[in-house]
Amino acid sequence: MQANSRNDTGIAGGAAGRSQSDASRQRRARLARKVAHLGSLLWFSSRLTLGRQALVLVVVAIGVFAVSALTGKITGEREVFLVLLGVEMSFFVILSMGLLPREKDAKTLELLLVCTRSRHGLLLMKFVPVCLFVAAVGFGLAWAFHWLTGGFPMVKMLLIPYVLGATIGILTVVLSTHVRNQYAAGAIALTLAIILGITWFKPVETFYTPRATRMMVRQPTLTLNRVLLVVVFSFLYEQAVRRLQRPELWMK
Amino acid sequence: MVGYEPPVGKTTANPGPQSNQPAMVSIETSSPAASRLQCESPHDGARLVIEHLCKTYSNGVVALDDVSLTIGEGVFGLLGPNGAGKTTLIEILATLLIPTSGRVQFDGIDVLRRPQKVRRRVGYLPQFFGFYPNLTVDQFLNLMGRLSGLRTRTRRQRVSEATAMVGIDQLGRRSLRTLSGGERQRLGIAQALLNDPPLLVVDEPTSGLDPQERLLFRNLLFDLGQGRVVVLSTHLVKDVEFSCADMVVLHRGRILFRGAPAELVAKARDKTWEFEIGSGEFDQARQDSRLVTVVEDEQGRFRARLVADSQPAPRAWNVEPNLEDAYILLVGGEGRAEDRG
Repeated sequence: MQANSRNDTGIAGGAAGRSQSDASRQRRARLARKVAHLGSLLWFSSRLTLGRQALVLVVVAIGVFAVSALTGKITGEREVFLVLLGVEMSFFVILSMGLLPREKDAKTLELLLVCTRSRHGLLLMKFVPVCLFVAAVGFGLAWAFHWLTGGFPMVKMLLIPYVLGATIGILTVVLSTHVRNQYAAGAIALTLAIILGITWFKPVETFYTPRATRMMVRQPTLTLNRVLLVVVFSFLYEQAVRRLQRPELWMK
Repeated sequence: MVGYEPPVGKTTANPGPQSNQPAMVSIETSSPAASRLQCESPHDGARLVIEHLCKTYSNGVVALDDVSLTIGEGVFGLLGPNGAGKTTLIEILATLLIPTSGRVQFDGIDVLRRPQKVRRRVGYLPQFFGFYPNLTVDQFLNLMGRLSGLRTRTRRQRVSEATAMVGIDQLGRRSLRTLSGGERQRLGIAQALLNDPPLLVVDEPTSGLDPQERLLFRNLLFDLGQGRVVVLSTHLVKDVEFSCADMVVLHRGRILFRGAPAELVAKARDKTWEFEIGSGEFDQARQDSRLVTVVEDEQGRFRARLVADSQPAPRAWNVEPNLEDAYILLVGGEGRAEDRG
C-alpha cells in the first residue's frame, strides 16, 4: 500500500514536473514568437521610418564631431553637453516631424489606422526606431568626445540630452498631428525647445550641472526638474496616442 | 426584362456562413446578374445595420442626412455623384470617421463604441491609398499581416490565399513601385482580405483602371461577395450594374433610392426617349439636364437619348431603359456630369 502510494506520488510528481516543464517551454516559445514578431516589425518600421535620412544624419553627426575636434572648442563637459543636446534634439525633431504626416501624404495612414494594432503599438512602432537611432548616434558621439577630452560622467552625458531630446521628439509628433505638416511641426518644435530651454528649463544649468557650478545649484531642483521632464514626456506621449485614437482628425 | 446586359457566366449564390441564415439557392445560368436579382433579399440576413446616420463636418457641410440601411451578404452598391456622401459613409464603416449622430452595428457590434473589435472584422480599400515603394508585394502584405496581429503561420497562409484570390500570386518579389494601376488595386484588395474579414468596404475601386481591368475587378468583387458583406462605393453606374444585387443611390447625403438595380431600371420605363437632332441642336441638347447621351451614327446624324416624364420632342420615340438612364432620371444633371464607366 505504502509502496503503491509512494509510487503514485512519484508518478504524479513526475507528471506535474513534466507539465511544469511543458508549460515553461510553451511560455518560452510564446516569448520567442513575440520577440520575433516585434523584432520583425521593428525592422520593417526602421526601414520605412529611417531610410536614407538616417545615413545623412550619421554623416552630419560625424561632421559635427570633426568640426568640434578640429576647431578645438570642446574643452570640457559643458561644451560636450551642449553639442550632444543640440545634435540629439535636432535629430529627434527631424526624424519625428514626418512620422505621421509622411504617412498621411503617402496615403498609407488610412491603412494603418484601420489595422487592429493598438494606437500605443502604432505610435511605438513609429517612434522606437527613432529613439534607437538617436541613442546609437548619441552614444557614438559621447564616446568619441570622451575619447577626445576625457573626464566626464558618461551615463549622465548620455541620459540627460537623450531624455530631453526624446521629449522634444514626442512633442514634435503631437504637434504634427495638429498642424499635419512635417516642416511646420519641426519648426514649431525647435522654436518651442529653444524658447523653453532658454527661458524656463535652462537645460544646461538646471538639468545638468557642470562640475564647476555644481555647488551653486540645489540638488532638489535638479531632481524635481528631472521628474517634471518625465511627467512632460508621459503627458505628451499620451496626447499623441489620444490624437491617433481619433482617426477622424486625419480624414479632413 | 431589364434593359442592361449582365455578364455571361456561372455563379453560385451564397449559402451564408451562419446557420440561422437561410441558404440561398445555387443557380446556374447564362445571366448571373439577372439570377442574382432573383436571390432572397439581403434584408433577410442583415448583418450591417445603419440607423439614422448623420454627419456634419465642422465647416457646416452636411455629408450624411438621416441615412438608415440594413445590408446583408453580397455586394452592396453605393452609387451617387461626387459629394453625395459615399466616402463619408464608407469611412464611418471603416471606423475612420465618427458620425454626428446615429448608430452603426455589424454582426451586433456597435461600430462607434467598439471600433477596435470591429476593425478585426473589416477589410478596407480606400479610394486613394499609397504603398511603401521600397517594399516588395510579399513584404508589404506580411507587414500588414503583422499589424493585423496575425501569427506567422496564419499570416503566411493568408498572404498566399489573398494573393491567389486576387491573381497577384506571381508578383510576390516585385517592388511596389513597379506595379501597374490594376495590380495596385488588387494588392489593395489583398491587404484588405488578410484578416479574412466578414465585412469588406471598398471605395471607388475601379477608378483609373482600364476597361479590361475594370471588368476583372468587377468579377473579383462579385466573387468576394460570396459569404461576406461587401460595400462598394462608386460613381460608375456599370460597377453597380455588373456587381451588385442590391444598391442605394445617395445624393447630397440622402438616400434617393434603395433596392435592386432592376427596380431602379423599372422606374425609367416609358420615360426614356431617343430622337434625332441636327448638328445645330447639339449644343442646346447638351444643356438639357435630362440628357443621357448623344451619339453620332454612320450617316453623321446625331441621336440624343434622354429621360423625361413626357415625350420631349414630337419625333422622339420610347426606348428600353438601362440603369444609367434610371440613374440620370433620379439624380438629374449632376449624375450626368460623372464618368459613367
